[in-house]
Formats: sequence, C-alpha cells, structure tokens
Amino acid sequence: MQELTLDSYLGQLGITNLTPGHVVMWAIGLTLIYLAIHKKYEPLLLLPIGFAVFVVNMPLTPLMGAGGDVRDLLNIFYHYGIEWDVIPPVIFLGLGALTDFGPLISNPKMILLGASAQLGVYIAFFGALALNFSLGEAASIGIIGGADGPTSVFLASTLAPHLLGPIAVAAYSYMSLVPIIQPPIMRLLTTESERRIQMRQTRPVSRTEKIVFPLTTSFVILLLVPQSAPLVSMFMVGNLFRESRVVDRLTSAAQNELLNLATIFLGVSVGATMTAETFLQPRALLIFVLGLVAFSFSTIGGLLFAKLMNLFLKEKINPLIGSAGVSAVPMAARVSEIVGVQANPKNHLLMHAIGPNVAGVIGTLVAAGSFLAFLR
Amino acid sequence: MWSQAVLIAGIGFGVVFVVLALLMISMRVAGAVMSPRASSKSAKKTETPK
Repeated sequence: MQELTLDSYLGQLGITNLTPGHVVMWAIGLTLIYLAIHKKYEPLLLLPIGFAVFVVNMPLTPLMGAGGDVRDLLNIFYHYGIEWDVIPPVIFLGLGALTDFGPLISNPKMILLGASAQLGVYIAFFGALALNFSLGEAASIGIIGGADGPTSVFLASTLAPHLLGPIAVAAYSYMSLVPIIQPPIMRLLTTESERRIQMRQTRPVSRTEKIVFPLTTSFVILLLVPQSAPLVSMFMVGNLFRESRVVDRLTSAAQNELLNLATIFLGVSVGATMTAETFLQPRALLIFVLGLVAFSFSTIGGLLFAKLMNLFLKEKINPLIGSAGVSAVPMAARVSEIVGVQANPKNHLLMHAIGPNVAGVIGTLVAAGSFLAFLR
Repeated sequence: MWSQAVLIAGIGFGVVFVVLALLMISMRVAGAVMSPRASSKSAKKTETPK
C-alpha cells in the first residue's frame, strides 16, 4: 500500500491534476449541452455526448480507463457497444421499424438521387487524403457526407477509432444544421422556374410491395456488398417487422425502448472518447471543415443529378428533392418542402422528397460497405 | 496511395449506383406485379363475362 501523506492525498485529487486542456473540453461539453437544450440541435445525441465529454474530462475520473483500468463504466459501454459494433446496428433496427419506404417504392427512380448524393463522401475522402489523413481515416471522414450518424460511428470505430469522437460530433452537428447548410446551395443551383415545378401525386403502394422491399433490398445488397450486412440486415429486419403488421410488440420495442437505449449508450460512449488528449488537435478542426465540404457536395450531387434526370424525363421532377438524397431523415426532406413552398406556395414536395431521403440512407450504407471491403 | 484512393472511390461510387439501380429495377418489377393498379387489372382480366 502507498504511504499515506498529505502530498499523496493531494495528488489523488482531480483539481491538482487539472490542465488547460481539461478546461477547454469542459467548454466544448457545455457548448454541446447548450446546443442540445437551447437550440435543440440533435438533442437526443448531443446531450449525452456533451455530458460525457464534461465528466470524462474531470481528471482521474474512473470512467474511461484514465487510471489504466479497462473495466471503467464508460469504457465498458464503449468496448462492447462501439468496438464490438453492437450499438449502430441496433439503432438501425429501430430506424428500420420507423421508416416508411412507400414514397420510394411508388417512384423507384428517386433511388438514384440517393446514390448521387453520396458525391460528398468521395470528395471529402480525397480532401482528407490531400490533408495527409490515411486511407482509413479519410474514408471515415468522407462518410460524414452521407449525413448518417450511426453509419459514421460504425465505419470510424472500425477504420479510425482514434477519430471517432470528432467524426461523430461533426456528423450529428451537421445533420442538425441541414436547414442552414442546404437552402443557399439549393437556391444557387436551381432556377426559379425549376423550383416551381409541381410533381404528380405518387401512386398507392400495396402491402405486399412493402413486405417484399426489405427482402429484395437485403438480397441485392448483401450479395454485392456483404460488408454492410450488420447495418443493412438490422435496418431491413426492423422494416420487415413494421410492414408485416404481425409483430406489433417487436416493432414497438424496436421503435421505442431499444432505439432509446441504444441512443443513450451511443451518446455517452462517443462523448467518452473525447478526452483532451485525443480531441484537442488541429486534425479535429480539419475533420469539421471536411465534414462541411462533404455535406455541401452531397447536396450538390443530389441537385445536379435531379437536373440531369430532367433532361431525359418526360414528366419533370423538381430538382429541390435532389438535395434530400443526403440521408438526414426527415430533416433534408423538410428542407426541400420549405424551399419548394417559398418558390410556389401550392407546391408540396415533402412526400416526393422522402423517397430520395430514405434512398440516401441505403446509399450511405452501401458506400460504407464498399470502404470496408477495401480497407478493413 | 493516390492510385489506390482513385480505385476505392471509383469502384465504391460505381457500386453505390449499380446496387441502387438494381433496387430500382426490383421495385419496378414488384410494382408491375403487386401494385394495387396491377392487382385490379388482373382481377378485371379474370372476371367471368356475363
């Protein structure tokens, strides 16, 4: 046993081990808490992340293995939840149970907008490489452009676990900033007359089509990109629960209790990785810049592809729904609706934009799976 | 590293389009067979003439 002296006791206090880095991280944690509570920016994630950042940056707290003990509470959440790739798939199970693919099934060509809106992923990937990030790090940063938080966490935990904190915070922050980032780009790349284009009401979708969709999607994706199986299979089984209408209890559990629990563990685990030593680096700032680049180019990709499709389509589509190809569901679709209504008060694009919006989620999953195929 | 990156991005983005295009085709086929419109057409066809 260590000899008990006043000095050894004082050495065990947090306050005597405080560094300026800890204080900066408290400020970051409190800022995230403020944004979550006051501005309501992705509060379900930013609130637990912010609080975890705040507490793990108290010196010597036995939460994240600071004293060398891997059995610390948040370290256990992180190890079994994130490192073992459990939490992101569970979140996708809940998302699948919440998602209605009807608008996409009724107008299948909208799925191509979800593919084109992955442009930002690859632009940011090259941007990160130019800034001396490794291939795995660049892929993890690029996927921020997919605007899909759980996929970003899933990919980063595998390819660049040391960058998980800044990547997750950038992904969730920008997802909440979609209504600020997208509209100027949408107005810049579309003409007034394009924004006024009215689209015909979509056809009704049968229950059988909705049941077949998760089965065919799993079949196609898992055969071509098996690396995305943990996320895709959970997403689709959640959706099958929903559309089958025979397992209401499971659907309800996936939509509510399971999703909420997984969200809590995801938030605190990600926040716990953001210690002063890992987060306060110039690279974290670069990740935020690259995340913004990724988001912007994904928006551009969707908009321009919608305009390209109009060159070949008899019945024109409103290019504003292209920006909804980034997967921030349903925020990006709502932004399409708002900008569309500003151009033409009778023009309601929400249901049309939901199609590319959910297609964007699938596109990001495939992009992440492709990265894993090369880099794992 | 750059040649690898071009390969990863080129194939990756291509795969995204191919997979989603295949899903589009599968949805079209499913729609042609199972949509409410298709069901009502086939019901009319099998109707016994009076």
